[in-house]
Amino acid sequence: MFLCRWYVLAPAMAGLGIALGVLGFAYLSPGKPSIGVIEIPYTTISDRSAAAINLYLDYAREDDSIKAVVIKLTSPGGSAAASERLYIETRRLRAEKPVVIVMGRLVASGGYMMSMGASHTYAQTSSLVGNVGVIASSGPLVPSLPNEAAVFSAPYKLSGGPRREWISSVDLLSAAFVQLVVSERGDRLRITRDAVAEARIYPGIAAVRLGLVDEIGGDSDGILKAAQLAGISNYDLVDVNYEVLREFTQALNELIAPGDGYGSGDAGLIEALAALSRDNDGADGNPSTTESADIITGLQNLSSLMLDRGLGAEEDDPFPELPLELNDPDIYYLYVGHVP
Amino acid sequence: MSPKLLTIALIPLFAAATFVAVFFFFYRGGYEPPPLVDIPYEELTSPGAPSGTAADSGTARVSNGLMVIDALHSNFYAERELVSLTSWVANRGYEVEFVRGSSRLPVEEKLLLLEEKLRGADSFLVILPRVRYEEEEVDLVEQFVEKGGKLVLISEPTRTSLINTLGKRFGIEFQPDYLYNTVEYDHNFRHIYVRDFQPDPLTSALDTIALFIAGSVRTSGNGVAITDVNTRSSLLEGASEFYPIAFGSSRNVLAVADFTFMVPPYNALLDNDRLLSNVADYLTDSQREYILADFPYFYKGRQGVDVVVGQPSLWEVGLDISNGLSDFGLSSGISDLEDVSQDTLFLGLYEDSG
Repeated sequence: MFLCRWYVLAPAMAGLGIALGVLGFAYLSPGKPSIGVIEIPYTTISDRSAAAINLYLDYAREDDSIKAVVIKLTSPGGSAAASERLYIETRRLRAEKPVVIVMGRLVASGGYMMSMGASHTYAQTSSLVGNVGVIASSGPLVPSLPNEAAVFSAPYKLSGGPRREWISSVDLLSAAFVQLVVSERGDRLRITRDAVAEARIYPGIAAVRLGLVDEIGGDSDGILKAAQLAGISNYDLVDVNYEVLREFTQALNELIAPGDGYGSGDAGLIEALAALSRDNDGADGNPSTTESADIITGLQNLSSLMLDRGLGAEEDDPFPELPLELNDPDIYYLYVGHVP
Repeated sequence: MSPKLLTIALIPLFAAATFVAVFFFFYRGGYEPPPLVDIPYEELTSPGAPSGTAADSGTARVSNGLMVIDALHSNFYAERELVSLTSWVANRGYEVEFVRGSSRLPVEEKLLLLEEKLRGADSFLVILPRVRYEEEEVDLVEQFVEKGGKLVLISEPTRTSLINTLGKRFGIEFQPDYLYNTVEYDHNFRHIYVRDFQPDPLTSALDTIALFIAGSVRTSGNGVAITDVNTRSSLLEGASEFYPIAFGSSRNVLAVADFTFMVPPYNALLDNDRLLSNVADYLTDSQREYILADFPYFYKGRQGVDVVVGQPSLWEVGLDISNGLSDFGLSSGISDLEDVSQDTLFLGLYEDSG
């Protein structure tokens, strides 16, 4: 009877309500907010590195508890298509969550293109930023004569077009890159389009003054800004690199099912990686010289298997009967860092 | 409402209040994504020069002569890159010969090869030598120019060259720069247009030329082609006038700091072919003077030569000389009497001269 008294029941009901409110918030929606932190140490952007970075961006986008993303970026750029892919994916993430890029010592060319997809950018005064431009290899002034041992169907079947047209393509891509910067920076840009096209690299302090970067700041500024843009406080930080690696390892553990003959735990994992590396090297089963080398090679093989589904690892000469050398021309948004 | 129901209603009330309180503890507002940036890619173009037409200067004279091209100094070109120029020169009746030999030859041997070729040459073309011209070689070329021979020096910034070891003697210094223009260009900022020319037969009928990897020339003579205000040098930040084409200390020496304009298909753009034709005119318009040391080339262009033999014992020698002259394309005959209407070579002994 005592429990039915209002002065007992009311606080109990209120307490239950509070508990339900907290539980509902925590487990149903929206939950405690967090800021995803992606670390990209000095990385040249290639198909492979872009695929890995994409995994981080995907994770940050798909995890509902992550309300804002901070990317710590250091990159001289790289392959044009891969750089553009990262810009597109960063921009896609920005459409859902605020993305703040904190630039390291160098964010140039394709790396800078990626940063154009962010909501806000920070650089240190000494960061090197910019170098908006394109590099591509080109053939000789007078093209060499075709090999009579190969039959081809059109004048440009081998080269894809005349040299001048190729140079024109590079110019067009440069104009597109410049336009991207001009459009993304909008009113914040305080230099002319022609000045952007000169592909200069600036220290962070000048880049901010010229409107290529929003502010001078470091990691903590980036996190505060991300929280402000997302409208959150009392948030957690999520190490996205770690979380992706954790998921990767989990998937790996599932791959190495019990009964494969490997031990359990880390020792089993190392054993399995070493074995995988030996298999891929085509070696005779003798263990490699060092365990760490095995692990690195094994991880590379695994990343190839898991990230690229086993594709992309080309043979040196896939068509030995074809009397033509296979080239793999690429266009680069890359700062090669020649000292002026 | 009964007190029991009221008490139970406290659950959703406190739950909602707690939810709102916790929500505002963590969330102070929402994220408003920026509007999607539309990048107008479709408006972008790469400006390029229109094709020109194959153009002859119309003033070309057909005359006999010889243009020698340096291939003795590990020169950085392929012969097929010269086809357009050598065709224009050949069309004007000139022969085109290369002076060939290993660049590692001792200077004495190189001098012999060079001297032999230049003795009969009217013009000398030096493109991108990668091996330096030694002083003795420069002296030889200088003598050639002093005798009225035409010298054309061609270099460009992307290929290594030691051309200044020759050019300096003639007041020419190719600069270690490249020219560019980010305002107006043909598909790439290094492909510049030149529209300002000094009046000279070399620039006759030129309106616009496109130079694809041009450098600049510093000269003690006159600039021939002059860049515009938007054209910069990789060595200088500020605006200035640069000469990609210039004469040296005399009009007999021409320096061109671009090789590409003469290379197919770049020679087919704008007035490049016309410039090439003018350069061919220049090369085949030599006023070369020959001296005794240039024997037998000083007979060049003559109809025939009589070899007058002073005494019967020299007939065999005279026959050898006559055959030798035939090898040079000169008709000759042996005689013991002078024909005053004919070029004559007297063959005698020193002791008979008195």
